[in-house]
Amino acid sequence: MSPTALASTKIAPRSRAETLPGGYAGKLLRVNLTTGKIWSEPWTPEEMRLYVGGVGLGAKILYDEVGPRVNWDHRDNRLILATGPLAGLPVWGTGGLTVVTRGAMTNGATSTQANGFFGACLKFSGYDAIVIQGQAPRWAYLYINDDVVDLRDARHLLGKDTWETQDALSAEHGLSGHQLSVYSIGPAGENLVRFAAIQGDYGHVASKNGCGAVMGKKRLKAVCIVRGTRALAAADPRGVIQAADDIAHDLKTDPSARSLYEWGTLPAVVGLYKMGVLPIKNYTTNLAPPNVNMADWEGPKLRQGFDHRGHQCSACGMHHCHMQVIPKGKHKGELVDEPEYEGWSGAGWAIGCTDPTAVAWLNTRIDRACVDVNEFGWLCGWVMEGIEKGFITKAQLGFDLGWGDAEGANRLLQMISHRKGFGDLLAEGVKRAAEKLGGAAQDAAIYTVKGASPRGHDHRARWDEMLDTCTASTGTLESGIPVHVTEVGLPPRINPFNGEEVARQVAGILGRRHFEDSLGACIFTTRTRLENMCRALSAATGWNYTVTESVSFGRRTAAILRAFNLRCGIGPDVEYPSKRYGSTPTDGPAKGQAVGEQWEKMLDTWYGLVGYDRKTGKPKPETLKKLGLDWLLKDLWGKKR
Amino acid sequence: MGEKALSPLEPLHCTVEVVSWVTKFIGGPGAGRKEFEEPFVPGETVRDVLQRFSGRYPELDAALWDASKKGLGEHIEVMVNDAVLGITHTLDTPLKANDRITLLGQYMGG
Repeated sequence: MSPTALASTKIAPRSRAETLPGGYAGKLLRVNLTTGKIWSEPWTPEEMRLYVGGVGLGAKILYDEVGPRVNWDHRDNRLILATGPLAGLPVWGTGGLTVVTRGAMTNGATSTQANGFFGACLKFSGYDAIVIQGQAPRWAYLYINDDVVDLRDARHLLGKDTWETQDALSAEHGLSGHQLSVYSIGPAGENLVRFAAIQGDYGHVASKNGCGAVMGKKRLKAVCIVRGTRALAAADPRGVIQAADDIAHDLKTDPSARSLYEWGTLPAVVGLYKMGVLPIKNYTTNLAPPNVNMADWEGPKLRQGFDHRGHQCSACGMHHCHMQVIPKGKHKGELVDEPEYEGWSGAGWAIGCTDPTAVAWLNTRIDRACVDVNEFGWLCGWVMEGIEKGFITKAQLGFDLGWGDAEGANRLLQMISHRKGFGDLLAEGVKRAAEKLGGAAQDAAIYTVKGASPRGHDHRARWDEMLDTCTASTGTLESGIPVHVTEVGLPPRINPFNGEEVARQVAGILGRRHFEDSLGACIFTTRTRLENMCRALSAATGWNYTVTESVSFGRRTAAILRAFNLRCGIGPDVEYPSKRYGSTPTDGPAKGQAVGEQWEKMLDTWYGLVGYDRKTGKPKPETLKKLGLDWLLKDLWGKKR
Repeated sequence: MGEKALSPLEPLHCTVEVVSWVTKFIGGPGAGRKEFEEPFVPGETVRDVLQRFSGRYPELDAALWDASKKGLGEHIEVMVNDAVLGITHTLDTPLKANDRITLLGQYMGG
């Protein structure tokens, strides 16, 4: 036990039960921060088949253990850090972490993912998930090294950003790289910024629904896992390798994935611009400034504009994640993580910043302070528009902030992260800040009425994601478009501005993302056919897991999360975009396409197809029965049926 | 502006623009864009031109169309004059001179 440990548990190793499916460690690690008690808890093969892992497992724990009066900042809220049965196996991108909690943005269910090495390290230490409850009496971090699990004093880490925290813990433990996975909050999480995130392994962020604020409220600065020594067995090792090879081949060659394989999400900037989906200057236009050559924003140009190297996650062969060096200017020589598309959007186009070097720098500042880059983009763009139009004054803000000013945006970020001055209001997110200011300020803000932050697109040209964002119970998306939609019986393509077709597609694919987010794999390596993922899961576990079962599983998870949200008072009345978010583009490829005119019809269609009651939002009794969720009937409908 | 009178058989031209990673399917680098002036005769549709065009590039042909070769596959967007299909054009809308067909890959963020 470390001399600085607050609490420690030496957990007795458990021999692998013969009935345990392959791919599983077989235990959940439980941590009560209030009492310092740490214990492990087995879960059964039947539970594994039903809830798989990740968000599937997390949804059930959340529903069972977090009551309606346990708000996001209540000590009894659970912070569930779960991986899945593929984590640690040689399938690409299987270091996956899914964070499930009652989040600060919606005060409802959350499912948000990150990668790196967390999932693999956790499995090699003998756990499938960590379930954290309570609130530490003083700041702590959780240290896991096989059966030694400590809560250690984290006061020396306070105020450090996420990269500094990882540097400090690496130095403290003499481990780095693949040997130590560290997920932490930055100053934003410490100060309970409502859209604070959890970041790990230099650049991987579980960003949605204020999960970092939940961790901050628990006074948990970091989770630090030494790569463990436990064996991890697959039921059919050869089958796992065969499925992994097929998935890799698919990712390298299939039209849906090959650009992701080669360039990650970089090509999306130009591609989405051509569709009117790139958000520019807080949705005030869909046209690039005349001095910007979009050819400079092609994926290869963005990557080759920097010294760079690969920064792959566990067992991943994608050319996706990269680190890069700022090549010029005030921050020349600084190491940053190559922005994802969402970073180019939130730290760039959404705030009118079209200098790739400045965007790359600001994006990493956002990861280090540790807030959701989408919400920061909507918030910062809104402030910039406010200064321009006068609904926010320089006197309120304390300085001038014009479109594209990355240094000013970082100043704003620091104010928010430390809740200084006007930053204290902004730390509540754009929805709450705009509602407080009202009038023109509220009209210009991009948010969902539910509180979930839209992804970094202009969804006025991507109605599928707007519908998904507004109806999902996770604080973000719960479908999975675009994927191989024909695989689940949907038409290969739709008119994206036909609300009926859009709603049919979103409803038809509901739950696919939950299946992917329960495997312990990265969303970018699950861009293959469900059949391939089911083969990998079957080979890992020894089950005969079919595509039909995966679809049913995803919908079951969605229904549990919806039941949780309904119990929290989150229903159909908040499934709407804000005025600006649901407005009609005035220029660009989607000019004149009015989502607002079709919204109610889209909801009607979506509700009908997913089997939920349109008025109450509840999954209908027949839907629950079909999904094997009879146990939810009484909770939702008040009597046995 | 007055238009030149054309005989029914005189070929017109439209542009087929192949963007970003879709260029891989026509021997390109997977970035940037390639443009092609494609002839067509009056009455020919978006489908006619695309079938003729993709017929020259087997990889594109496999990616652009579904198994029946009558409908589009899942992952390449087709735009005509910067609008997705369904707004001003379908596959069966006749083309006009100088129309621009764009082949664009689907993208996701992250």
